[in-house]
Amino acid sequence: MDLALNETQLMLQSMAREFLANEVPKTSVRAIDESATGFSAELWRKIADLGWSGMAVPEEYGGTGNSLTDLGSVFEAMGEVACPSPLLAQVLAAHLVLGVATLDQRATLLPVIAMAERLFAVAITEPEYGWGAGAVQMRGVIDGDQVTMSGTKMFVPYAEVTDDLLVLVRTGDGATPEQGLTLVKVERDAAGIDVRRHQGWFGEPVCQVTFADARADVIGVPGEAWPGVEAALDKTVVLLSAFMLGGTQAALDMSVEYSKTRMAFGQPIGTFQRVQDLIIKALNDADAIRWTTYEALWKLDEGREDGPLAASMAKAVASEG
Amino acid sequence: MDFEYVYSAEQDSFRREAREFFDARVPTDRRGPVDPESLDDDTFAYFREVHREMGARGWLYPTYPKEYGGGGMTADHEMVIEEEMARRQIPKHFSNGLVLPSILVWGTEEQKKRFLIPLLTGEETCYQTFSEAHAGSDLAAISSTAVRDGDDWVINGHKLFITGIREPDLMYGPFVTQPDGARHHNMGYFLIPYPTPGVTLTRMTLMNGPGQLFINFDNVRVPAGNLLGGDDEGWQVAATTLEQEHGGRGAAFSPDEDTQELLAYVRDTKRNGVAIGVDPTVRLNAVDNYIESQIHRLLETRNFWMYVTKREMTYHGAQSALWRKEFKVRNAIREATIMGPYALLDHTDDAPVAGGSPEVRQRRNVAWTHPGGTPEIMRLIIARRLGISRTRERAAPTPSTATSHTG
Ligand SMILES: Cc1cc2nc3c(=O)[nH]c(=O)nc-3n(C[C@H](O)[C@H](O)[C@H](O)COP(=O)(O)OP(=O)(O)OC[C@H]3O[C@@H](n4cnc5c(N)ncnc54)[C@H](O)[C@@H]3O)c2cc1C
Repeated sequence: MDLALNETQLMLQSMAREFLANEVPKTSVRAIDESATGFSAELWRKIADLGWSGMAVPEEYGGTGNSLTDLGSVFEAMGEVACPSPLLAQVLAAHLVLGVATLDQRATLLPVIAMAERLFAVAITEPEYGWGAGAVQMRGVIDGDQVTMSGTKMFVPYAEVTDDLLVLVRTGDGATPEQGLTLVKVERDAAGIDVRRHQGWFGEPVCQVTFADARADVIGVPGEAWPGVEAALDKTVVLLSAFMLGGTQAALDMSVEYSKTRMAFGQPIGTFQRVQDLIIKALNDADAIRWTTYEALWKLDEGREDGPLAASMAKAVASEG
Repeated sequence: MDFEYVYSAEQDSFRREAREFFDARVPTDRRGPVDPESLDDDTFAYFREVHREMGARGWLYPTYPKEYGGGGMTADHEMVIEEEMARRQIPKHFSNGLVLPSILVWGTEEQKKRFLIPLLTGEETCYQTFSEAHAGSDLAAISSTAVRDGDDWVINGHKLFITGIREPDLMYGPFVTQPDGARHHNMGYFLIPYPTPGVTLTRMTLMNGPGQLFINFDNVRVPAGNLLGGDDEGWQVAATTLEQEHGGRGAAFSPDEDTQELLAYVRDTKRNGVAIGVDPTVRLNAVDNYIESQIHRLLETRNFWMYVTKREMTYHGAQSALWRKEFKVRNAIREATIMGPYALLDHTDDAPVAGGSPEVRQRRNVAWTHPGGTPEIMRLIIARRLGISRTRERAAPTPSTATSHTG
């Protein structure tokens, strides 16, 4: 048993922190958030140059083949400064291609993802709203290596600025909702695709994407995408938990510091029990997120059977405290 | 990172030895009762003897030094013994061993020999006499006194809520030695044999059962050698005891039978012919309980790891104690929500749920938020250790009994 990050992870994390401290000050987080697209191509290029977009991609495909825990240590550091970037979407794309695509498709797509030559956004959720395979009802008609599809996807991060979209569509009906789902790839600029940014209070730019007889390339085996999609989501969701861990810990550290210096009624507010209760709640949340997330990362890296359960638990804890 | 505890070859072979002993010694029809606080005389006597035999082998307190009656073993061995006992529902030693680290840290050589040997070998049991009617959370407010008289100390006053299901051989706790002395520096920590003239025990029945005692001290004489530490050091000695009580050591395994029982109930129970698990309220309650149980396990695992790797612990012990105490109450509430009145059927009913254990938890999980400090006191400690309180403090010294650890 050893609950510490290993040498590599500690190094990755400290390099990440140094980079983020220099390149992503609070002012730039706000500026990017308030910009027209919520995206900074300049920052994304720097992140890609650090190799982070290739961490989830095996070496044979031009990446560095890092473990999820390695990635988690970087996402934790990013969360500490609320670093705005499409890295999570790009990593999800890598996991999807690894989980669903044919060998040939892997060989062409993964190096592009790893080097961030193109940006990938992933479209799964639909207006009927729901999670899981059954919630994917947008229809696609298979035509050789291609699919013609129409319908709407919601809450697609970075769809406005992406180069490519990976879309999950229903191309058939099986005995269970898991059957008949196909992953496709299409250029965002292709005919029949309309992207509209959702307005509201989101941590990252999210969009509605409408397809009208758009033609896309089939990735992997038609109708059999779901198991690979689910596995890719499990792996990616736990990285989101790691990001939230960084954010929660940073908020906690700020609160502790503030409660020592902010005075009221002649004393630091941290001396009031009711303020302490709030801080202790945050401390418990942060530690609960930390250890459920770390354990989930470890279980997924080890290929444990209960890895997906641990990933969902970490996400539930990170989201709701 | 590696969350898995890997048993060493030594542990595996020791486990065989432990299994042989327990299998031969404790037949399967001998099990601890559902409610550990209402133990019949026969069961008590039976396990008291089992404990003595374990003590003779050094298995009651495996990590304590052999010269004082301990096992001289590692925490690895201790873990195996605890697991094998839990597997057979063998009750833990009927003694509150929290004084042991204090004796080890603060005792003279003579005191260690005299007091540790009978306790560690299981010949004797001891109870923790800290709380008084006007001093619970605020332990420093105790007023029971110890006055020096020749070679003796004369003790007067009372202690209450003292956990112990029979009678102890020894009691330990702080008593005021200097009524006018400064707070925290006005007490000594005494080891008081029982029976001693002037000590009377009265059983208290709280919601959790008849597990606590009211103890009166009326001109009770103990020799000077029964003072642990200096006569103004009682507070510090008590802090060593409490550090352990607040959960500083953690655990590599914290199986949560209660949650397993609840999940099994949800899985197996039907109402109106329909599995109760289809009700989203039931499901959410059960899942929340599962998640909180897992968080508790992870906090314990973290503490265990920090302890054995000798990382500096600050708020960690109090945090896991706080989590456990509050979680256990929510656990009981969720059981009541999911099971309704079935959660209240006790073990004497014809058909209680899970042998009546949910009913025990309805009472016990509330009462047991108190010992060792209430959740509010755990919060107070955490705030101090985070450095946001008026009072600053560091963890009290404890003997690092975990010598060589694998994992
Ligand atoms: C089942 C059981 C077993 C026990 N076993 C033992 C034992 O073996 N030995 C022993 O010595 N004692 C034992 N106790 C006593 C236990 O340690 C005390 O009950 C506990 O410390 C609380 O003290 P109190 O009951 O006097 O409550 P009080 O100290 O009077 O507290 C009353 C309430 O005020 C709150 N409070 C107090 N101070 C603060 C503060 N500073 N900030 C915020 N809130 C505060 C408390 O949290 C509580 O809610 C046991 C108690 C129980 C119920």
